[in-house]
Amino acid sequence: MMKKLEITEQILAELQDSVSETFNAVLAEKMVIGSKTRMDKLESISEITSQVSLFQENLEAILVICLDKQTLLYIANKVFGSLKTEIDESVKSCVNEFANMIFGVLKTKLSKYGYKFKMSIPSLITGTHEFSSNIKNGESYQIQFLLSGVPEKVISVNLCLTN
Amino acid sequence: MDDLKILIVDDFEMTRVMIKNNLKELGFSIFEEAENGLDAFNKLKLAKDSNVPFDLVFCDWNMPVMSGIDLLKRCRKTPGLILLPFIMVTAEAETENVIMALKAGANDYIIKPISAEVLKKKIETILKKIR
Repeated sequence: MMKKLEITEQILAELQDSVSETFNAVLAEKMVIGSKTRMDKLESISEITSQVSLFQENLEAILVICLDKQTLLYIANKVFGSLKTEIDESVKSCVNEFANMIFGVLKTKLSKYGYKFKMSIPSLITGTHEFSSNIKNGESYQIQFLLSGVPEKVISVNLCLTN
Repeated sequence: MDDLKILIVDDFEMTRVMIKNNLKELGFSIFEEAENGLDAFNKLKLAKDSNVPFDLVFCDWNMPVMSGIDLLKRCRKTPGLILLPFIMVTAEAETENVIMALKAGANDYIIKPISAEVLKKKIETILKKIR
């Protein structure tokens, strides 16, 4: 029987580090950690969302990354060295790749605690939406990050357990 | 530095662009891209059959249609692709994944997230090995 994921301060710290390490490596920018909030419900809060499912024997949690359009364009332009003003397929692929990398880092960190997660391919959701009931009503934590160069650009990362 | 024909396989354009930009800075200019293992295998086979084979592959692990590890295994069973230098580039960082890839015949392993600096160092090391 696999040990089921529990969200502790240690796990949240590992998530924070996973996000910081990923953005730092790819964008060469330090992340400033903002608020960390326990939420009663997972709700869509921004225009672009990527979600990755965390499975052991069953679906246990999802990792959700939310960005607004301007933040995403800022990141994409830095990655591609371009000046995009609209969200096209290339820009969308950035969100999913960040979700994929963050979860990859987190998965490795969680293996130290005895978890053996498998990762799904990230899925992108555009616009506000409803999460399925087993996710939206589960225990959920949200951590906000700011890009150090541009503090108004907020990235929210949610870790949500299934109920 | 002699130019090499390089195939970059990843379902995310962002990673393909990052790898390509770093390779360009190292002086390489002949690239093709593929979005999944099957697409890549078809390109590798066509290039080999046309006598203009690829010299090196950078390949993601998790992709739709055909994964990177399945592509690697298929290459190692295909005459003409058995010795093709093959680098896994993946977010799968656990030891068992690294061992699985090396056992399947990967020449090296790069773990995402990739910084430009790390990618350059790794590429230089890999090129020394395969030349």
